[in-house]
Amino acid sequence: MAPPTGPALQLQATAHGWCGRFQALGGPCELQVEAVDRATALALFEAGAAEAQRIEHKFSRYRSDSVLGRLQAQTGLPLQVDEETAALLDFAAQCHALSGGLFDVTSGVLGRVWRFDGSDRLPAAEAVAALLPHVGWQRVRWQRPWLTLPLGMALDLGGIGKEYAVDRVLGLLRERCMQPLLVNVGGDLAVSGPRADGSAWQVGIDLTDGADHRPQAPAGVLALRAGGLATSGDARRYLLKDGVRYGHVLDPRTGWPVVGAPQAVTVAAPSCTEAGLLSTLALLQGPGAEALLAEQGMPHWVQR
Amino acid sequence: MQLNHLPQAEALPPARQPQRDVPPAVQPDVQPASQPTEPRRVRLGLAAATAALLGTAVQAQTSPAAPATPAPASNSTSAPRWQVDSAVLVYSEGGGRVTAVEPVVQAKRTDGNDHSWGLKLTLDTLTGASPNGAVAQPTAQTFTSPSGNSQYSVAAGSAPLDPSFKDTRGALALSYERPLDSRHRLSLGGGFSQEYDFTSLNLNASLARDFNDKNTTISLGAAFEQDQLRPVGGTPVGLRPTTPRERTGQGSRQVSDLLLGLTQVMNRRWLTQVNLGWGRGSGDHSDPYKLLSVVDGNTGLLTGDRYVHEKRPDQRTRTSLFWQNKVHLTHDVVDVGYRYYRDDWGVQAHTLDTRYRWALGEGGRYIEPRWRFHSQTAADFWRGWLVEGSGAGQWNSGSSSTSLANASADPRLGAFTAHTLGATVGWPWRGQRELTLRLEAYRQQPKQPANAPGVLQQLPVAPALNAVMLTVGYSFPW
Repeated sequence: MAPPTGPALQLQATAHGWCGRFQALGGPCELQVEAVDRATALALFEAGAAEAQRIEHKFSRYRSDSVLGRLQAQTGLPLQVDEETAALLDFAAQCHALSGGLFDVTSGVLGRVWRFDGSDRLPAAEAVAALLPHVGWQRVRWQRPWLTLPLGMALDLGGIGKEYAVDRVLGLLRERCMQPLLVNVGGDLAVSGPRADGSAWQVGIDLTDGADHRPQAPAGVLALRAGGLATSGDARRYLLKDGVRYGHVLDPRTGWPVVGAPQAVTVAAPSCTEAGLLSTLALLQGPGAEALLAEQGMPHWVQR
Repeated sequence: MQLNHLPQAEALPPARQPQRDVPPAVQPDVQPASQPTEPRRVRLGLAAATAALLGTAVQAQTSPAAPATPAPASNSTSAPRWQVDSAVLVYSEGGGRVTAVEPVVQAKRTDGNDHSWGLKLTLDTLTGASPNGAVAQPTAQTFTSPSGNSQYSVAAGSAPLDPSFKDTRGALALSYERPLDSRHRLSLGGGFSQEYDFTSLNLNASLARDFNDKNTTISLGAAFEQDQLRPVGGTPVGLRPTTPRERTGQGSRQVSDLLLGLTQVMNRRWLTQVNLGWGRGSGDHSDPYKLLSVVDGNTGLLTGDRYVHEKRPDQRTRTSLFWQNKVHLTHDVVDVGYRYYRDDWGVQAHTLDTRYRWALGEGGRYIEPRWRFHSQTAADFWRGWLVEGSGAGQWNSGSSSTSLANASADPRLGAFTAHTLGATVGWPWRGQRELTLRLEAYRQQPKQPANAPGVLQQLPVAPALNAVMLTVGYSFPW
């Protein structure tokens, strides 16, 4: 099977190996490998980039040929999904249960009325209330492999897509290569193990928003030996009215922003997917974010 | 490693943004559908769910409790290093003119708090001959060197060059940069430059502020320079004959500059920058080694006092507008810059600088051709020579005087166009090392004077300048 024409890949030598950069999943992606030659690194990175692009296309909300696109085209009717989508939907269902309904992949429709652009334009309460009947995983009929989405509802896998892609790409690369690997998709990352010399990967935890063009020094450095790191939240997306700041994380049960949510949460966990879920769950706890993370026992950073 | 979508730590005092609950009237009263699972079950349930999702791809690499060891921000395990840029420039003008060799070393270090220190050392060695401002004649000419101790001759029909142009200059510059808060950045710098007849001290500071998610940056900067001139043989009195020697001793000048800058990210591929500069210099601006020839208005031959020292005004106010664009194509980068300059001496200049960085495969190698075009008008007081006579704008050798307030024949203040054409090749290596090689050719064509008297019409009174520049550079971390 020939891989699809991958995204433009930039290969660069690093101190002990190679780094490949490309754009996918809405942002910059970076793959690193050590102790292999250039040809091997290039082949690895091309496979990794193609996999990232495959996942992006498959689960994009904006492509009519993606799974979600086809789902949108036939809401109300049962759709048979493939193994990978089924696994993701099972995962979404379990997370919905574990979080008491806070984590909900059907909450994307609320984006029609909520625009977090830093202004003071809140949606009308009636507009939000009108959307609530279309939010709720409990309304979705999921009997593997058949998915029926009621009319007016939509699925959005953005909350887990990136972290899932990181783990999938890492898994794919690990099948082909025994050497140290790092996969980074827009700041969510995972490593296969320590570096060739036995040291940990040095990952910078950056407390600026990184959109400028100056080289930045990390505000803190994490020594990552194994596992993944993910961040949820975005301090730039908010609404401010009458002195009250509304973060962009919405409680699917009420349709309104979670009260007292941190601006961002970063978690380290054995996989990027797990880290992503934990950081999202922490955000959804609002004031209880730190408590939840402390109980889980994972390294974490909360920014308020 | 960058986690570049982590949000900004807005350093706002709590009083400014009180965190209140959403007013109860707005938030609907909804009972949660079910109670959240207790924490321990969440942890295990999540691990199980993830394992199911990812299959055997996720192995238990270490114990679930501590897969990573965080380090506190203050003792980062990777110590900041110096990034060193070193280069040697070899500059050579055609026709036996100036040759210069300039090694430069620059080092910069940024620490964990984003404070950055920089150091730059420059050594300039110039040898060769440079125009002294006098004009060519059909017979050989003899000049006294600036020290007064020796003489040099210039062949008939050739543009006079002063061959005693030997100089070594050393310069040291320090810089410091740090963020003041999430949006402001401060830069400070100071420098010192020394050659045997000239010393310069400078200080500069600038403040930059970011807007629009760091897509817009506005900066305001100021610089101050104090120059001390100690010409060989003393500072000559301007617009006086070269013999007898009249000297006034030392000279000095101060230059102040203000710069307002705007940098804007237009889109993901295009960055643009506009700078507005304003500067004022006061003090001694004349070049103590430059002369003007006094020639007959009909024949064009040397006459009367023969050579006169140049004189420039004591004040100079200048403004400049600079606009640069960098556009990232898929692999290549286009860089176009334009500068407009004018000052109250009458010089107006346009400069266009274009570069195209052509990425050669992966690995970061590139070749970057460059074309630069510069065109300027002459200063109001610029003239190729002085005409003997008692009329306005002429030199009266009888009284050794003139109605002119200032006069200079320095080609750098004259009208000319110049082209630079060259290319740079870069080879990066692993570990942030890079080797660069640049070769450029420069050609400066002065505007030929319209009404050259007599013999001057057949002589090279405004010769072109050709130069070649070769730079070899190497950057590395240290």
